[in-house]
Amino acid sequence: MTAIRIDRISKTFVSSRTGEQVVALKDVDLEVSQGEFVAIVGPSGCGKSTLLSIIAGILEPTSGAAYHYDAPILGPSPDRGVLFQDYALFPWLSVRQNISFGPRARGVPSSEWQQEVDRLISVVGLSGFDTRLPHELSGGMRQRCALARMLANEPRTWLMDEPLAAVDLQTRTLLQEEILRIWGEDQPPADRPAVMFITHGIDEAVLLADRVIVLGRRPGRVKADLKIDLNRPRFEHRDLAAEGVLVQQIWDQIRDEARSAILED
Amino acid sequence: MINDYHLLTAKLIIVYQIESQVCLKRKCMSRETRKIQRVASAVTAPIVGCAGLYAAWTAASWWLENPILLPPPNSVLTALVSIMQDELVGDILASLHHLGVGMSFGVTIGFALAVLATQNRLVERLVDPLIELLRPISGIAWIPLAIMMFGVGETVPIFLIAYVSVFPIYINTVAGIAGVDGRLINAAKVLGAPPSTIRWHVILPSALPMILAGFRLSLGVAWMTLIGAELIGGNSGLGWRAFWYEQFFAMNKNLAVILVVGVLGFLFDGIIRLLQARLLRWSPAQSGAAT
Ligand SMILES: Nc1ncnc2c1ncn2[C@@H]1O[C@H](COP(=O)(O)OP(=O)(O)OP(=O)(O)O)[C@@H](O)[C@H]1O
Ligand SMILES: [Mg+2]
Repeated sequence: MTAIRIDRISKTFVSSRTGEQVVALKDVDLEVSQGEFVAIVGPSGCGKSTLLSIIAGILEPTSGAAYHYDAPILGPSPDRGVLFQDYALFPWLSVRQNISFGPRARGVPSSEWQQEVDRLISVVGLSGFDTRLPHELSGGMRQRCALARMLANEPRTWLMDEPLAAVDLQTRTLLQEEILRIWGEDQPPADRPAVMFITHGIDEAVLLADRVIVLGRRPGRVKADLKIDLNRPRFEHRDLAAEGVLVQQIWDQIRDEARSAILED
Repeated sequence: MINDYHLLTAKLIIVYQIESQVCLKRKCMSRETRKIQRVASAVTAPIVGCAGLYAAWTAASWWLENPILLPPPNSVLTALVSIMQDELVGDILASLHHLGVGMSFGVTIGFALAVLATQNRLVERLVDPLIELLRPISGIAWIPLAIMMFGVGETVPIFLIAYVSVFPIYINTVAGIAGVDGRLINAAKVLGAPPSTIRWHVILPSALPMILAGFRLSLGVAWMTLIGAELIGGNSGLGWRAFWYEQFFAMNKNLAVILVVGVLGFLFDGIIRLLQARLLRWSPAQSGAAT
């Protein structure tokens, strides 16, 4: 079953200051199946966040359409959970209040979410921190809190924008493993969410995903779409050699663009 | 010559010390010695400042030798004690009444206009220029008109308080709402929050630091205006009382009233700062400014 379908989406931004047009996405076609973990890589400014925002329903495409389980995406929905790169936690709410924000905002009676929120707090390792405020947490803890907040709505699709970019290496490795576990690596695809995971790290993409999509730049479009046939659970059978080959393949695809991206910016 | 005023200063010093000890206890849970030092200097510095003012004032009144032009501080403090036992409590209550009623109107109007202006372009275009036009005009400027319209009485100070308190709360609320981080609104949207939840549980708390700062500014300017308005257009309250004493050349009592005005203003501001510290504990910027 197709979870996300992107149908010839283009997005052009017009700068309100200079009137200059930026084509962020051009005729992008993409499908993500139910239970599939898709990583998106590409040089800075190629439109990854733009694409994710369109699927999240917080940005409208200039042309084309996006579908979630065959329903056109017209706005945000709790069914499509988003993990923002900069956490976007509510600074005045405690960890617990942040995590329960979704169910509370949707008017779910507290008897139905209390237990689940407690469970999530311990799943993301924040037990004992539930009354802390976001500014009292470390970067990794904030990211885990944001993850739990997304999970509390039990979304059918996870949209994650560079979720691990701002955490240190050890935390990142631990969170990668956590994310795969919570996603349900060992479950059949029908029982787990579809994931769209944006990252700058090609190695991270290869490590986590079933498929890696490479976006090119100016205009943003799909340059390559590679299947990653590594065994799951990934952290139990790591095959560094096979990963390295795949990373190299992908890097070859984007090296030139990445270089020109640096030179232009 | 142990008189009432010595007693009063003694009492004030005791109260001050008790308060500062409460302060000490609260603040010194960790990193104690350095904090004790800081608190000690926070306690002694104002005392030194007040003592300096007291000394300079005493010296100046000696030099002038004219208790009507400049009564010595001792006589002002004695006057303070006597009028406190007499009529001043009623005046304080009258001023609080003017302030309370006036600010309720002003703050409600300013806040409501700000909310409407941020939600509706047309309202913004209508209200914003008016506010900007009226804002630079001091509240005092409207006293003659207010007297003509309402006659001398409590309506004049209430009206002027309401008028001047509209602007800071309006401006700050507009800025606070405009400055809400769009990412938080998006986060709430993707979590399934309906618009009303976003308004009350995302936009309002986000803008609260600015709104409270605006309220504090409103209160400050309202208190400043209150005295002038009562003095010229009122028939009760501290400003009116200060003027009344002046007419009898009781300048020590006049200055005593002014002292009370200053202390009350300081207390109000302190209350708002406490409120800010309580409500904005989540804001890292605020926790430093709490005391
Ligand atoms: N609101 C906007 N207004 C104008 N231009 C925009 C806007 N948002 C994005 N852009 C432009 O669209 C292009 C794609 O932006 P986007 O944020 O999607 O890139 P990205 O792939 O997520 O980059 P990064 O890896 O650096 O996060 C960029 O050139 C950017 O300048
Ligand atoms: Mg991005």
